[in-house]
Amino acid sequence: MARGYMGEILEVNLTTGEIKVEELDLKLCHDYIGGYGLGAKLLYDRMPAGVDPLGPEAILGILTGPLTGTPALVGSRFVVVGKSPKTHTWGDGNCGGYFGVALKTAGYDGLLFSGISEKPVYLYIDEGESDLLDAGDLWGMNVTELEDAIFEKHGSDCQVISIGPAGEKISLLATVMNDKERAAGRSGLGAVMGSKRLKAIVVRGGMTIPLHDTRKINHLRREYMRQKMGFYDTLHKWGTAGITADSALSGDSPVKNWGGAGTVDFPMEKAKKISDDSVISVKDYRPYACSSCVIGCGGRLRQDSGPYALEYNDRIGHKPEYETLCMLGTNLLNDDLPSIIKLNEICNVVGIDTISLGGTLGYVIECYENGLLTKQDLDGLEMTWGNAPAIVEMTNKIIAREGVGDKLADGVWKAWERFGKIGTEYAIHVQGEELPAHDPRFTPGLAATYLLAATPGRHTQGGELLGPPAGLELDVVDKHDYGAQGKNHYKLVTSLETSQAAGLCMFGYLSFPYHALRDQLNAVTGWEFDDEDILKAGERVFTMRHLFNLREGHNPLTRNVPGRMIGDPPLTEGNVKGVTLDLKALVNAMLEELDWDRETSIPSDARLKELGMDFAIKDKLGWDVPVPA
Amino acid sequence: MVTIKIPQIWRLACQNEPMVQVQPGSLIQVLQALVERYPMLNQYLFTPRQELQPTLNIFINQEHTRYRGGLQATLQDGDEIYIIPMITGGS
Repeated sequence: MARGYMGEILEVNLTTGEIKVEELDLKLCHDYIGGYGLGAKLLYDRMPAGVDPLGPEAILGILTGPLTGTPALVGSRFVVVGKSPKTHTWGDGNCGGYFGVALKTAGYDGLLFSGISEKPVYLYIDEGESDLLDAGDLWGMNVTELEDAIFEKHGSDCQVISIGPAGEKISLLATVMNDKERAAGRSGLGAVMGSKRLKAIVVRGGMTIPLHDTRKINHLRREYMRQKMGFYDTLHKWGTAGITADSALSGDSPVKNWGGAGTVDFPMEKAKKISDDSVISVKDYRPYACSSCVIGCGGRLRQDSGPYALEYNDRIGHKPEYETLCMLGTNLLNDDLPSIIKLNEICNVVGIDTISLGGTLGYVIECYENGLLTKQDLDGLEMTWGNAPAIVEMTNKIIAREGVGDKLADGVWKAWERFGKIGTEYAIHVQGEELPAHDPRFTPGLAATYLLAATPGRHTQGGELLGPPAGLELDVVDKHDYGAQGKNHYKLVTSLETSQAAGLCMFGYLSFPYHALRDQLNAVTGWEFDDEDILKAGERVFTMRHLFNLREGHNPLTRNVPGRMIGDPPLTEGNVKGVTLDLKALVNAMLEELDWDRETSIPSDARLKELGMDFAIKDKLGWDVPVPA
Repeated sequence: MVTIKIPQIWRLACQNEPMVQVQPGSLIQVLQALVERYPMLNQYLFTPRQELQPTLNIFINQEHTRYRGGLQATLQDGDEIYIIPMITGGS
């Protein structure tokens, strides 16, 4: 029997209140590993196509991987899965902290929620015992207040995931939060949780996670720690905040809503104010690490004075990380670090995605600066580049859904529709997901990732030349040789898929030798995966999430592509000036490696057979998939 | 002299020096001089075939070498080289 799994998932019907324990199919685990791989297969099998993501038939899943909670480097992750109400595609959000480990040691590899509760509830699990409890007095609380209330009632040794008021109000920016400040941020799955009136999940665990070879996995942990490399030093010292200034210079981070250049619009003297040492030298800074993580990329700081003093947790909050520093910093030409720290707190306590918020605000600012929106349209706010007070005030309107904030509270795509479809070129999203802070004009492979991955606009899905872990052999290819990157792209994407489905943190994947993934997975589960098996499992995970979309009638090749994502037209300044990507060449190179049809993106029968996904050969006959014009 | 700013993640390989100064020349000559002084940097800068690692981005006075002639770019006294290994950030 495969180890690393607890062997059970909990099915909760929120309409009837029924809670069922189901044995986990370990054959499925071998094929799809865990996390969003397993989640995609389970939801594909249990959810019909075409359901309303906010309706009772929609299923919300919380899943761990076989390496979550084990000594593996770095086994701290869980994932939230479902159909995204934002993109109407497969949706997932990955998160660290301590909840995933607690869930497993409480006895469960995952939780599946269907139905809609008549009243607000929360699920309480105490080592196998589970109950749906009344959340009437918790509804309306922000994330911090909620966790404090839970700790007072149930003890501070539990772990909590929850939604804040944003999820309760069904904002499509809503996240699922853990440990007050860790977010399963993307895909708007906090809104799904809110639609079910599920306020929180509280777990207490103390069981032992079975391991195939305890001695081996402990040895591997020590051995690979000695071989840490790559990103480790930067993450350990600064977290991802360590790369902000470099990325503004290089062209990696978006500047001025993807329309500017770091060297001109956000030069080093500005960028340094919201990067590396500037961030960790804020008062009372202390590093934070997720469960058993040796990297410790997180950190908390105190901001107790000035116009952006923090409000909660004794004026202590998590430091803003790269994505937040860029989307609310470089992207908005905002070099005011205290305002970004405050915005981070606001987003964390109400539970909204900082990336999506930044993309939405960038659109609003650029429309205002170009006369497409007026002060009157924006409730009197002067939304100009770098205007930190206005940015914070608008964010407060968004979280309250007050005035113009109600138009903006569901992201840039909805905002664009609600404003009468103005400023289309300023709405930087793919299929409704605001792009994260890594520019494909700098890392061309990401263009194919943003377009093809089941979750659109997602940078944590691998991409060509994305600083691969040592030991993953890639061809030496110029990043602007667009048609030549398929093989590398395939390896980067599929290896990362396996890593994430296993419950490992992407930063572990980037900080330790590549074979740590294979060796640790085998040591924990007892499987004997070789390098090819790792990639094939990852391809199966990537494909399964894609099949969910195809069955929904969604073809990623028909997604919108913002011109600024691919340099159409190219920038005229900065370090990615003159770059226009050949997106078709990038995408076709990957489609060839995956053996997906170039028009429909449907995998070939031969490839589905090879992956052991024969069910899809029959299923696809009934799919109605649009093709690009 | 040409100043090469060493990325934080490489500093253990060059005795924690944040920057190194070498004689002017072409970019490839300058990088080779750096490797001569700190041989451990060779694996970060060059592939086994001694081509520049594709995951590196090198800037001369904040302008990408792509716009300055690549490895044959000429560096003069006072020029600064900034090396950024390609990595990703999250959250």
